Amino acid sequence: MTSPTPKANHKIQSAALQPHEGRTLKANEVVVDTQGHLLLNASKCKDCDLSVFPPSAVCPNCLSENQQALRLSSSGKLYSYTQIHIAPPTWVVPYIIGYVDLPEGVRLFGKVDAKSTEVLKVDMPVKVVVTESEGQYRYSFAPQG
Amino acid sequence: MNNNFRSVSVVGTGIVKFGKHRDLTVPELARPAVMNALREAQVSQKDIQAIYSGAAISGWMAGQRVARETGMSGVPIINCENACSSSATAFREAWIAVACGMIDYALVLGVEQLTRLGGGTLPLDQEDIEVSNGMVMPGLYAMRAQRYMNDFGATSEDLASVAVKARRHGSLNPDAQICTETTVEEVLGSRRIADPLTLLQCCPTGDGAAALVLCPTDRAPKHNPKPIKVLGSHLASGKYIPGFRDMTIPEITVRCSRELYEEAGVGPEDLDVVECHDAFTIAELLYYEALGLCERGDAPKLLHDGTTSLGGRVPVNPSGGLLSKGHPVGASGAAQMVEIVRQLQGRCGHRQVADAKIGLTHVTGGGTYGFDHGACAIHLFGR
Repeated sequence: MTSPTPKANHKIQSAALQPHEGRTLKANEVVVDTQGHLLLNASKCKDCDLSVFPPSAVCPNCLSENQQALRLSSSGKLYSYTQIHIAPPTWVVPYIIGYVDLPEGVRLFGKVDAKSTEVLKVDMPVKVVVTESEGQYRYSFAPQG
Repeated sequence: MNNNFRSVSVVGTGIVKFGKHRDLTVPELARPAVMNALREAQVSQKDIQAIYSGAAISGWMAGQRVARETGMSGVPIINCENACSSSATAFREAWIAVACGMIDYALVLGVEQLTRLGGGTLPLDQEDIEVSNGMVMPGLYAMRAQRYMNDFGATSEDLASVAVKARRHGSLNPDAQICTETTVEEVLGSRRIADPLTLLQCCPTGDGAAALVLCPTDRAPKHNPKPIKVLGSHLASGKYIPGFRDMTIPEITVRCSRELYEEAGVGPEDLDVVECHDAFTIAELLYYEALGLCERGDAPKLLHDGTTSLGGRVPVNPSGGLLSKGHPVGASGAAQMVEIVRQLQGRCGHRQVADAKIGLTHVTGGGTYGFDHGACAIHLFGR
């Protein structure tokens, strides 16, 4: 694996020397559909209809424990984005982050897979891509068109 | 507001010049501000009945550590952590204690030593699902800027002009961390931080402290020839909205200011001077609108026509604001209050707002997912 060396890595303890790749998904946050595609799993409250990601056993609004799994669409709209040039030492800069709105009423935050913001526009369509690497699952956003 | 509350006034203020004070301890940093506030109020440290201290990252018990070295140890001390609203939250607690009659003399302290972090972005909690995916505070504000520019046609030059105004005001404030003017070209040409925000559109890393003494208004003339009344105090917390949210509307500031205006019977049209939370250039534009100084989308116009500059109808951040005066997180709320009190007392020299009668302070912040911000504290002062 060829990873860029993070700046100022002399400050980092050996356990954290790997560049930060982003949050790893928990087992209950990923589902596989019938075609074998990886999708994100949220939860929806059967009592007050609130949908949340990551899924919660208890509704953060009405405290109901009556929750159902909600499979999130892999297509959404890019609400906003920015390219980050300064970040804590384990992050390799620059990188692009954004918010993506899904038809289920859930807004996701994550990295955008783009070399530059020049190809990005507010409200453009993006795909939510869930990937697996060495048993760890993560998601990011791929701009469409 | 409780109708049985007594009127409360500020009778003493103190502040130290913001900057990089790595060689000082937190108590050493705070002591000059505390001593000045006590001196102005003509009260002994032994008269202070409780200390309300705001600090976010400067270690446990900042209030006790400062009290140890300013002759006030032993009194009840309340340490408040509410991110950027820490010392404004502390002030509110002090105000309540004096207003309800529990005590007569309170000291409010805001202190922070950001240089102990070594610089860069503020360390946010890694448990947070956005932070662990690469969120940093400038990134959050940058996405607000990106959306605001898209929705209302604002430009990079509009954003940069906020920093130019802040630095113009800050150049008149000897306590500001950055005391030099700048230009739109220099702001836009500075290092990229989180597009479209450049370095000079972000508040600097620095250390600072500010302090105020409060007492009942009926006792205030004994302590200060120009006491300043607290006309209103409000604290709001972020509402958890897991779904869609308009990032160009700082919901927590809108709600907090509306509730305060209603309680105090004061409206945005009554304000003569404002200190608002301009941690990044885009923030000041959004807060013009959220505080009701102008309609949605009109913030750049309000900035460019001079309304919010010194000499305008309602100068915003005459101190230089967070962008120029600096933003030692936990100290900022108290520092804003020191500026507004001194403006209303007519003590601000070249940056004095002529005949200012009513002033407002506004701090908000805290990066945690699902919220616009974690906390927002707004206060109104009048002479």
